[in-house]
Amino acid sequence: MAQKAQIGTLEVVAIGSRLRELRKNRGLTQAELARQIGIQQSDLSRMEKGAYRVSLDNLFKILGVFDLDLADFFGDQQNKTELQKQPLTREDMKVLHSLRELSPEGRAEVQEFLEFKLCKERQECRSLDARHSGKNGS
Amino acid sequence: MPQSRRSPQRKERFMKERYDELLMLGERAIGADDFEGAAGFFADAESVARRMGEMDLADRAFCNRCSVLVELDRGADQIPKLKEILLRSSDTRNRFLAAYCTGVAYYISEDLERAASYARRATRLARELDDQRLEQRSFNLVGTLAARDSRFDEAEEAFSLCLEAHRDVDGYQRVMAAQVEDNLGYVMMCTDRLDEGIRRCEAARKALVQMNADHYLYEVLQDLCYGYVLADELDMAFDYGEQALELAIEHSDQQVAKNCLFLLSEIAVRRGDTFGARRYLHELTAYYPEAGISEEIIDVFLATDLTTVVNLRG
Repeated sequence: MAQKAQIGTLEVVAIGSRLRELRKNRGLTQAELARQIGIQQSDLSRMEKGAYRVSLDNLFKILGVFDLDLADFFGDQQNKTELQKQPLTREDMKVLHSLRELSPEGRAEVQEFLEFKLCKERQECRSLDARHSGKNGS
Repeated sequence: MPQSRRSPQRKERFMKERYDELLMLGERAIGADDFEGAAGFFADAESVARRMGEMDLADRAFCNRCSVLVELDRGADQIPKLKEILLRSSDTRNRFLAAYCTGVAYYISEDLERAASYARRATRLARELDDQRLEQRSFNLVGTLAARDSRFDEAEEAFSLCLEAHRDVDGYQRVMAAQVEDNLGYVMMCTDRLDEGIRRCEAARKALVQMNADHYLYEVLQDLCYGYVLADELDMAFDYGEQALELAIEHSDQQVAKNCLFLLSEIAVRRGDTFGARRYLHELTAYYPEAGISEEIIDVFLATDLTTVVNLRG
């Protein structure tokens, strides 16, 4: 139990730091951003320090203000962009061509399988991250 | 004997008895989850008190009605009259009730600064009365505001004090006690005391089920869903989450419905059910039309565990 809470705290702290970074990149003061989100400046300050959990509503408001998606906010986009920067390999093209040859039902099945695999891998990543954070935190 | 031929003293006694009976019926109606009915009984009690020329009794009945109206999201309209009671009444108990209800009404209207100010005022008035039970009752509001503000240690202290005041209570006070116990359970879950938190919320659920208080039950079920997600007991979490979602929708509580969709999506992710998770997340993002339904938003919810980042009371 103790480890879980610690991991949680680390996540909140990390998200707070990203929020501060994004705000500074946009040249916004805490007061300006707090006003745009519709919360108290003191709450935003605590949010940036990782001492404040956000409501779902505030989470969506923050995204609205920054006009970006959650992936940017949680820093996941960086990996995605790195991946997207890489050109398609001959192997990738082969997979795409094979996919085109499939019936719509077949494509849907492949899509389903891909999502399943992606989800599994993301879960594994999350468990690894959690273990890593737990070790660092203890 | 016709009422008109009763002696003035008997008539007065009869009216006082009727007043007490209406207050009791109002409290019983709250316990039975019948808020409209309760508001009606308290309104009748107020009018009986006015006919008796008893201003303090009328104020008390009015404040009781307000405590119900705030639950029905119609408390904000009553704030001016509550403030009037706070200013003019010489009855400290009524002033306490007025301050407390004003605080709750402001809380529901999202004006947290004013809510905190009236909560503090209610605490001061309870101290003036030297009534520990009232003082502890005001702690429910103090705790609720602290929990919303992620000040969980402070919230835990306030809810614990409040719960002490509700020991051995009966009637609709038991519903309140169960609510406080659930609040305490939730903040314990947020402060690394998961087992104790779940135990508290389970106790609150049992009490509310016993009293058929559905109106309060869904938030407890949401909290239990949250606790069991943290404990990684996904079957329990799912059952509670589904029940909470259904009741929240039935009672038009969007906040709890959104929280449940978020938690259910997390459960689905952990079970490897990406399609189920996507379905819940599509429903969740539909509550935020300004954000648009973005597959990227959904992807991040699928990839990131946000259970310890989001405050369900926020």
